[in-house]
Order: sequence, then structure tokens, then C-alpha cells
Amino acid sequence: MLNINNIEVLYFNVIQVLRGVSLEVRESQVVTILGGNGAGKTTTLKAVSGLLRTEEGQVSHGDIEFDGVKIHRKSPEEISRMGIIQILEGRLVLEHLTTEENLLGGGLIRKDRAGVKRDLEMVYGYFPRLKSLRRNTSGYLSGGEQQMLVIGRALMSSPKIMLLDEPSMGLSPLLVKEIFGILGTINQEKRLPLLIVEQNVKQALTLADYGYVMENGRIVLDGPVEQLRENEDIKEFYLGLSAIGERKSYREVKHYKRRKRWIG
Amino acid sequence: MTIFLQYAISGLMVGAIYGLVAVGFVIIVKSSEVFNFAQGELLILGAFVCWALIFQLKLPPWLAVAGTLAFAGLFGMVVERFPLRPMIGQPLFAIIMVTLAVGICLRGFLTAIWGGMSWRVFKPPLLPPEPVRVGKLLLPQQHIYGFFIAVVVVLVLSLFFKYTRAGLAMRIVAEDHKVAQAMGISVRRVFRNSWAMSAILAAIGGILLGSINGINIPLANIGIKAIPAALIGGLQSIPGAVVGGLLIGLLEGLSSGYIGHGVQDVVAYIVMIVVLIFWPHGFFGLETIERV
Repeated sequence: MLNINNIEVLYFNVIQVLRGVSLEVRESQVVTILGGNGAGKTTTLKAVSGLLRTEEGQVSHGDIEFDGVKIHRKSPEEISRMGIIQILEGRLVLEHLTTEENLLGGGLIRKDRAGVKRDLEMVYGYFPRLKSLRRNTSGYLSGGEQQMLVIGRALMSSPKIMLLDEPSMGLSPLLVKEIFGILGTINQEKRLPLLIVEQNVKQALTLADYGYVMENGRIVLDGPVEQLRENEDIKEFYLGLSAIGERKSYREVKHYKRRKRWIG
Repeated sequence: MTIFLQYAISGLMVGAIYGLVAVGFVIIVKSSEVFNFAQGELLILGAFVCWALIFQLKLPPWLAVAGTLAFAGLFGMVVERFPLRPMIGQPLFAIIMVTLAVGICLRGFLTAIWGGMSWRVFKPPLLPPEPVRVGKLLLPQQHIYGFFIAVVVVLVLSLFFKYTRAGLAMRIVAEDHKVAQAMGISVRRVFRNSWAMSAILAAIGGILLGSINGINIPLANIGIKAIPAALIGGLQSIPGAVVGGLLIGLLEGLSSGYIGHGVQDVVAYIVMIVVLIFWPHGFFGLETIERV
């Protein structure tokens, strides 16, 4: 349903960040984009949601299609009204508003008020902790609660696809597990496709159906997660496992860098 | 004691109108971080338009007031659309200078149309002029009406922000533009609405002050007192702006009563300096929430 066709992205008309990225998200699929810092993962998400424009960036080449409609020239408002909702990196709650006001804010783009009410209960169902905090100022919630809140807020707008930017950032492993578990439930129950950018490769590969690896603004590797999990390079560079599959002892590693197979 | 109360109460009543205008100033600051230095001119614009509708076009007062408010709202939207929207993304200082320029132009046009220093008086007045006696105090009825109108308008506004979808959208934009856009909220529409609301509030203030004191161009300087009122209140806070307005009104009333006429024009700024030295964020300034 979402097709990114060979896009290039320029910031300030000179800085090229993406150099020909293509990817696809199918109906009710979870797709993950992996890669190091500065690889262009976030830029890819912003190209889809249109937020690129607010940062003086633009898609200079290629196109992005959603359900057959080209969206790479549309404004962020139009794109979110089509049902593409991006959850920005860093748990950006509206800190002086209460939990419930944050959630209702997510429903502002909808016309059906009855649906908003129903979805509020649905979000409280997925995240019971938010219900007990509904009148609290969201700036004072814990990190995990804030991450739940921004996911809930995105759900309130009744999205057709959700783009998540590093939902695991700065959270304890236990919370990351909990949040990824809930994301999996949401994906299954609502048949909601997710496009997740992650640095936590292990969690991402557990949840996703399909994965892409980015480096230097290009996609260097892609495949179903079962394949990616078995890939030597992924194991070596992202999961920290040696070829045999055991945890690697870095003490014994000689200080030369193994050349990645995909760097040409 | 009676004299003290007399000064204090009439000061507070005018202060409520300052607070009302300051709320308009704060609404624009909250949504777009722009300081609107044309607030004073928006105030006299409202006053002059209302006066002209009643005494030059001979409209009935209620229709004239409604027409003035509608005109003010439209005018606010126009100001947002033409000089300000193309400036989005430019340095804040440049935008603020543009508002100053808008104010100066407006002052020039108003002088050209309705005359420089001559007073335009609402005769017959919009609000009943006879003072009423409360105990030993003698209170002008106009001030009492002005006070209650200001209070009611502020209350309605706070309900609007708390309970309506448009109000929630405005508060979300005040929090974070980028998040608002990611949520599909049109930041531009919120800018437009906040300019319209601010201009309407200034016009209400202008009509009230104009019908109490009469209108001339320097009345704009009273509108500019919205800025110290807003700063005292913390710039981001609507209750703060009301408190700032009341405080300035109170001290003006007392100082002009006890020290002498003329002091009241500078009192607002003296208070502002003192408050900002001791409370740099004002009384109700929003602090960014940091969890430790």
C-alpha cells in the first residue's frame, strides 16, 4: 500500500541525504528500517509524512505512492489526513496538556466524534496505565508512559499506516519488550501496517515481517526477517554474535575491521 | 480608607480591560511566538470603527458593535495573511519589526481618516454614564460594566480553550509546531484564528475604553500597556495576563490618586521592570518540564 520508488532527498537544495531509496509496505505488514546513525532512516520517514518540507528538505527525485496516490508533493496536513501518521523520535508529548488532552488532540483531524470516543476507550484498553493517568500533566509521565502516550495519540487519528521513529529510544529493556508486544497486538488486531525505524535490531527483527538495512542514504540489504536474522553481516554488525551464533567476547577481537560485504 | 478604596477599585476596573487586551497579545505569542507591537493600533482601530458606525453611518449601537467585532476579526486575518504569513520561517526579530511597521501605518491611516489629536466622543455613550453609590464609594457605572464585560469575555475564552476542538488545536500548536503538524493540525489556520481573536479582543478593549474616555490617537498607548501586563503575567499565561492587567490598573489608580495625574502613564513600565528583575519569567511563566 505504501511504495517508495527510488527517491533522492536534498536538504537546502545541496545536501544529499537519500541516494535512491526504494521500499514497500504491504497491507497489515510490519516493516523495519535498520541502520546506524546518519544512514537516512529518519529522513525516509519524514519524506513519507511530508515533514521534510518544514526542515527545508525535498524529494528531488523519484516518488512516493500511497494506495496509488502520489504523495511526495503534498503538505504534512494533507498526508496525515490520508491516514499516514508519523510518531516522531523522542516521545514528543504536549507536555503542559493532560494525558487525555494529548489523546483527544490525536483525534482532531477526524470528523466522526463517536469514533473518537470509541477509540479513546480502545487506546485505554491497549495501555491501561494511561487511563489511570488521564488527568495528569503529560510532561511528568515516565519515559515509557510517554512513549505509550504518543503511540496512543497516533492511534486516535485512526491511521491507515503508522510510521514509528525509534520507539525504543532511552527505555529499559523490559519496557521496550512491553511496547513492542503491544505494537504487535495492535498490528494483528487492527491489521494496521507499521513502518518502524529502529536501532534495537533484536526487537525490531522479532516484531517485523520484512526488513531493510540502510547505510549512507542507500538501502544495502533487504529481505524477510527470517533471512535477515540468519545473515552473517547482520549477526556480526548488528546483533553482536559471532559466526557460530554465540555471544562474542570483544576482549579477544583483534582490532581490524571486518569489511562488510555490501560496501562497494 | 474610603479614598484608598475608591482609587483602588476604579483602577482595578480599568485594569480588567488592560487584561483583556493583554490576553489578545498573549494568544499571538503563544501560537506563533510573535510580539504584536500593533496591538495598541488594533485597539484604536476598533474604537474608531465602532464610533464611525454609530455616529457617521447612524447604525444602532448593538449592530455597530457586532459589525466592529466582525471587522476586527477579518482585519486580524488579513494582517496575518499579508505581511506575516510570507515571513514564516524568517528570523523572529524581522517578524516583530513587521508588526511594528503595521502599527505605525495603521496609526497613520487612522490619523488621516478620523483626525489627529481631536477627541471623538461617544455621545450618547454606549454604557450608562451615571455613577452609582456603593456604601461610601462612588463608582462610575461605565467602569462597572466594562469590568464585567472583560471578565465574562476572559471566562468564555478559557472555556473555549478547555472544551472545544478549535481551542485544543490552538493549545497544541502553542506547545509544539512540529508535533502539531505531524498530528495533521494546520498551524497556519491556528495562526489565522489567533490573529482574529487577538484583534477582536483589542477591539472590545477599544470600544470599552473609547466609550468611557473618548477616542483619540494616543489611546493606542494604552493598548501598548498590554505588553507590560503580558510580561508581568509571564507572557505564556492567559490568567497571568489578566493578573498583570489588574495589577497595572490598580497601581495606576493609586498612583494617579496619591502622587498626581500623569504618573499613571509610566507606572505600568516601572512595575514591569521591578517584576522582571525579581521574577524574570513573570508571575505565571510556563517552565519547560524537566523530569530528573
